[in-house]
Amino acid sequence: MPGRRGEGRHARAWIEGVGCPLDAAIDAVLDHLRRSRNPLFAGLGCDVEGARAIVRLAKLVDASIDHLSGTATGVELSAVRDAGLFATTPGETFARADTLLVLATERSGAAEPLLKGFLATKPRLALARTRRIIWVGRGPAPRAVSKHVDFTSVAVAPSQISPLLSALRSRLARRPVGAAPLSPRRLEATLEKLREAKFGVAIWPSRVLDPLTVETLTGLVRDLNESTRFSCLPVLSQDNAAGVAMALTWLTGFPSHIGFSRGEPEHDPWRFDAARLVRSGEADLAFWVSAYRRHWPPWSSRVPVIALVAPSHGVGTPRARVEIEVGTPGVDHDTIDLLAATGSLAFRPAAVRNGTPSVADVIGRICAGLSAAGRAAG
Amino acid sequence: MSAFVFRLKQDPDRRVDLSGLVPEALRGRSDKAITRLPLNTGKLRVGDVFSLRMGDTPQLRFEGGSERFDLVGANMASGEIIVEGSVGEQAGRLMRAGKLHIQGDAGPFAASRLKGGHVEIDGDAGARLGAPLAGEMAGMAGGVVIVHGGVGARAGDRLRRGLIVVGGTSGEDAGSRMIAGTLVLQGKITGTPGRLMRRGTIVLLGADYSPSPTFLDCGSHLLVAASLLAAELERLGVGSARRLRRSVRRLAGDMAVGGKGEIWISSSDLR
Repeated sequence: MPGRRGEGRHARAWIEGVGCPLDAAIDAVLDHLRRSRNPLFAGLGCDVEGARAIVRLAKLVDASIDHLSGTATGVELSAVRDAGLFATTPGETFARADTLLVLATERSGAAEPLLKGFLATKPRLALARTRRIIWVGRGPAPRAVSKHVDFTSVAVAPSQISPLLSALRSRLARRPVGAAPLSPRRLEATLEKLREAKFGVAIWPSRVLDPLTVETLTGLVRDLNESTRFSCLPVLSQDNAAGVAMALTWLTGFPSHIGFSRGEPEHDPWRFDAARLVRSGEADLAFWVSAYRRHWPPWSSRVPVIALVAPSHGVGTPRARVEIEVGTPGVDHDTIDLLAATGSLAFRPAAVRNGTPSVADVIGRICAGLSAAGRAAG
Repeated sequence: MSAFVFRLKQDPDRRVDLSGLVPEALRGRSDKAITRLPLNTGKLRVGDVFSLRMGDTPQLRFEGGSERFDLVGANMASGEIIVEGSVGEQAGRLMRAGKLHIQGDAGPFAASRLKGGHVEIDGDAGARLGAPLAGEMAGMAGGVVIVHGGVGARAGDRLRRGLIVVGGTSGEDAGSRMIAGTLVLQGKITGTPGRLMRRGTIVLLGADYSPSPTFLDCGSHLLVAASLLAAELERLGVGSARRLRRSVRRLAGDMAVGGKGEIWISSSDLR
């Protein structure tokens, strides 16, 4: 249908760096997958439909999946699994939180806009007229803080965040502490602010805290809930990492690091770690999916790679054995992915709808190719 | 009287699960039946990886190891397994009794959730020695683990009962989330030992220790418990254990989670 908006834009694909039609690229992918002994699916920057398709294909070819390679969401997931976590959403936090405990280093990244929002607003549905913010780590510039905010800076080095949280938790239970990163007076004052919260929320960008520190924090929040209401809001990493982790969990039982070589999904964070699989030579083919942005894993030169990636727009050259450009979810095609603002899965219609295939489209065609060949052979 | 001998033909091209090769599983089987046993990867059988010499005692010897051997001696309930080489992850997992001797290195999660018996590793062990796997709540529940080399991060995570002795350097945050039990570290340490430990004892025999705010110095003491532990460690051949017969400095923690655990320091002074 010529003339329609976005029509005429063809999928762009390359084999060994040479441009080719999509059909030829899919045939080349099928060829690689049939010859592979132990393929690996990594990255998984895609929407929920893409994740469904990847699980279908991984089962067909007995592959391993390392969804969280290159993201930090795994730290928060392991804390939830090991110790539990009182969780809330960004929306609830904006509307009701009268006290925020922010743990941030210079690597706040994806959490920056959210944190700026809290600094500029007051809670709409809270009894308190101001929002109290206790900022642990490197704080914002003073002019970023609105006059509605009662701001306390607790400037400690990143390595001191964990001892500080331990000391707060200990004092909350009225147990003694030794030399803490804060003076006893400031430690008690900080604790008092946490105790006085009517609706407190602890916020941290993923990657900032190590797993044991997250566990110390979720424990502190649990202890605070004995006398008041306190929740956690980990700001998860980008590329729909948490949305895909949810989809993988409802499809296989596990959020990441899944193997299908025994016929049933198995979970092993060490055995199915992408970097380890490549380093040890156990994976002989990597299938890299990154539809939201164009980036590559550090191990991409050490193993043959098939890549479904976001368009390069002329920047950068094809790097994989077979590379297929896929559309950006919510821009080039309709999508369901996790919205950071609400913390829930939501439908987003395409902004452009230009015919660039989605991850699910391309992998659907690969699955069809594998089953057609299976039928012909049988 | 001789042991079953499994000679490695060549390094396998994929990971293999050796949990099926324990003394009680071989009893009464013919050599043909043993070589046909699957290695639980669905693709390889024992005969593809090993040449077998039959034995008549509950003793297995692997001539040649591989970093790709997972779950060696897992669920073992009697007898002895000796590996002349290295092994992969989860060696001795959930073992109940008997002896497992690895003469090379072990991968992560060695002695994971050990319940009893004796595990000895001549080389290094990977991360999370004795620890539970993802999603499991308690770690090692009994038995003795001796590692002559170093260990990776978080050795003894969620340890609940039993004894772990490490000869070399320990990785980050040893004894994390300990519930009880004893972890003896003879070499240098990295990170903070005992983070979130509820009860149990961590013994530092050769490490510099920088106190964290939630471990409180209780001073130096001649502890009866320390001399009892020294006797047990000497029986196991741990030479530096005699230091426990002198006074040890005791710290109580982790105060963040109850503070009923302790760290004993016997060597250099507190920094």
